[in-house]
Amino acid sequence: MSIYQDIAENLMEGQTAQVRELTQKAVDEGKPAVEILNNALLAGMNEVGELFKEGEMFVPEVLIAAKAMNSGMEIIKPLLNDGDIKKAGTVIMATVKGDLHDIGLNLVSMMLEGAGFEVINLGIDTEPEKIIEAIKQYNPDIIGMSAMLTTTMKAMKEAVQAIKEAGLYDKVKVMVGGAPVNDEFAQQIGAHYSSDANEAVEVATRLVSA
Amino acid sequence: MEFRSTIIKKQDVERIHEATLKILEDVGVDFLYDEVLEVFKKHGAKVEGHRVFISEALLNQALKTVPTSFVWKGPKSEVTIGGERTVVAPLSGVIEVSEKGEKRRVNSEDFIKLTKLHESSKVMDVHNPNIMVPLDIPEDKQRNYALATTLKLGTKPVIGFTTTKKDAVDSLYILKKFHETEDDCVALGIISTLSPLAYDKVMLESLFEFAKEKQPLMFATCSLPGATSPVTIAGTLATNNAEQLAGIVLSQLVCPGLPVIYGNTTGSCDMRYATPAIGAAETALITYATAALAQYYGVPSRSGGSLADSKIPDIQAGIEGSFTLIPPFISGIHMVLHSCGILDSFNLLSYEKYIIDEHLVAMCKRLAEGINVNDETLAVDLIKQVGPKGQYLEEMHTAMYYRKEHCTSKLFVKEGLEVWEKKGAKSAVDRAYEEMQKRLSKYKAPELTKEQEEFLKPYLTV
Ligand code: B1M
Repeated sequence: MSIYQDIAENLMEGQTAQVRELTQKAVDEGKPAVEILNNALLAGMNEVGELFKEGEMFVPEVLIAAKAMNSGMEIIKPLLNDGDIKKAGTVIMATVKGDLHDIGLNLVSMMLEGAGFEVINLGIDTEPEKIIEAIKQYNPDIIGMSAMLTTTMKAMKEAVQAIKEAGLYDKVKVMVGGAPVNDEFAQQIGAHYSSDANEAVEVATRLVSA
Repeated sequence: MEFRSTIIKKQDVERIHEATLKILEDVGVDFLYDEVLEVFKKHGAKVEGHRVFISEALLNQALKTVPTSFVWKGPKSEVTIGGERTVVAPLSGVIEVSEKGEKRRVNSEDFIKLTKLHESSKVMDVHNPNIMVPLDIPEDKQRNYALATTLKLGTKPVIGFTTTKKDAVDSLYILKKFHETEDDCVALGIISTLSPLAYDKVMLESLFEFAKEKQPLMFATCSLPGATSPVTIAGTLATNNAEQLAGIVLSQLVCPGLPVIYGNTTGSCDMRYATPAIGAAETALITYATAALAQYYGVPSRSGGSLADSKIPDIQAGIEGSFTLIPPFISGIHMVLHSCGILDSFNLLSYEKYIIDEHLVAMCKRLAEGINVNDETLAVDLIKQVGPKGQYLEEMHTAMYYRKEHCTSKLFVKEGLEVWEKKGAKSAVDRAYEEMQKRLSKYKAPELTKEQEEFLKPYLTV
């Protein structure tokens, strides 16, 4: 087995220590960092993504695989050139005001990170002002909002309104999701809907490449 | 009520209790409301920031004042929580409803329809204005409209609101005024924990409002194992238990003797999606443990009911619902919330499943009742009389005992195949729909006094 395969397989099993060790070994053997990135770390993570979509891998397994990948990334990052890592985009995530549900929010955030997005997670019960502030501070490509209560869906609408009033609506794309949210509602408020974390990654990827 | 299951052993309960004590004393529970911190400080608890550490002594002191049972009154009937009967209560918070394979968003029409079904139900003991948000009603009026509609259509005890402080205050006012009472329990406040190991401000504000009015509280844990509690069932039970007990301690410090319920509706979590898997064997195990733990502490208990993740009233829904509705009845849970109709992990009500679940409740009650063994039921005299090769169809004993001993329903298909085909080959789901229509057409609203009607009118005018 090639060392790349070895790294990828350990990554898929979430073996953080082994991935770190093997990545170091590959570097020491003189393998180019960009090759380790693409042929070992990203190759492993893509396989993880496929297995997750097929229902063969479970969320916690995906998350520890991502951790293992990061342990390898830390080693090769100083050796990579600027253009080697393609950052997919920056996303600000928040559960809207009055809503305390965050399991879905965190899951979507983690999946976006896994797909190469930089995610700033503002957490639960987020006032529109905080979202505006964050847009100004981080200049993101996407604002992602989650609402799980019928009664907090209106806070999504208000947040979009606030983004418009602050003159920032043209600078970002808005994504929404959560149990009571649907496509129709999203269109009404000028946002993009996705029904689960996988779809959220697809929508986000589409939005940044559009 | 005696705990009848051997699934959770006494020594397991004790070990969960010991782990819980460690969590309460060493890890602490966050109460995100300053007023609560003052209460705990006053009673000598260690408080760091919003984190409260509860000692075994403080826990035991609080548990001493919890009533083992209480009576909850409705306009025309009442229930005892903590007695020999498992009280059956409606679902809560569905986002959509389905019937005849069609799905739609909830509105006031569906609110009225389900409330009428609850009122005319032989198994449903109480009402719940939280069943769904009537989305067609102006937003600032939705809660009070829902509560007033419940009181207009129903006669059974009613759950209150804890969704905001204002909702709590309004529902307490309306329920007390409608029942013309100061002292009776006429509202139940449901206080959700924010797993792991926290309570949020809104819930705590509502807790204070209910305590002020001396109205009972139910603490409700709903963690997702592996996400908001440890993935192991024992670890989940330990954190769930700590949350429950922390809430119960607070309630007793604020208002000693306040009736409370130990409630847990934690299920499994499907890690393919990190979504709740409520129709699960683990839900059943957690229900057994909930009954055992609540009994250990001398607090009335509550679990979920016929819980399903399936999206349609199919065989999956039937299996999931049976798996989760049998345990509360055989373990002696005192109150079952979300008893009938749930699909899609709490998000969807199926009317057909609601009707079928009513029958499931009847079957569970029959199961829990056990076998009645006495001279009359053993019927040795009759056996002698009929003798070998005789038959029992024409015997008075058969006619007399059939209904008592056997739980039947017109819903379930039991006739011969050809007979069934000739009658239109209708499934239990088809029959449930017909049964519902019949029930609704026969529903009669209760008679209200002039004063009651006048009182409700402004809330109903939207
Ligand atoms: C930006 O782009 C995107 C894209 C996709 C996005 C996205 C954003 N956000 C989500 N998605 C999508 O992708 C995610 C991953 O695939 C998915 O996220 P989900 O969040 O759907 O999925 C998660 C991975 C797992 N799912 C969940 O975590 C939610 C599960 C259920 C059971 C649920 C839970 C666990 C909780 N709850 Co709450 N809770 C329910 C939920 C019923 C249900 N089955 O959904 C629901 C949502 N709750 C409800 C209620 C009523 C409440 N809850 C409350 C509290 C809680 C807990 C604290 C106990 C807990 C939350 C814990 C936490 N840390 O998040 C209270 C409200 C608190 C508040 N102010 O927010 C309280 C009011 C209950 C009470 N009386 O105390 C109901 C809403 C009813 C309604 N019509 O509005 C409810 C449907 C259950 C019910 N029937 O009662 C997709 O929706």
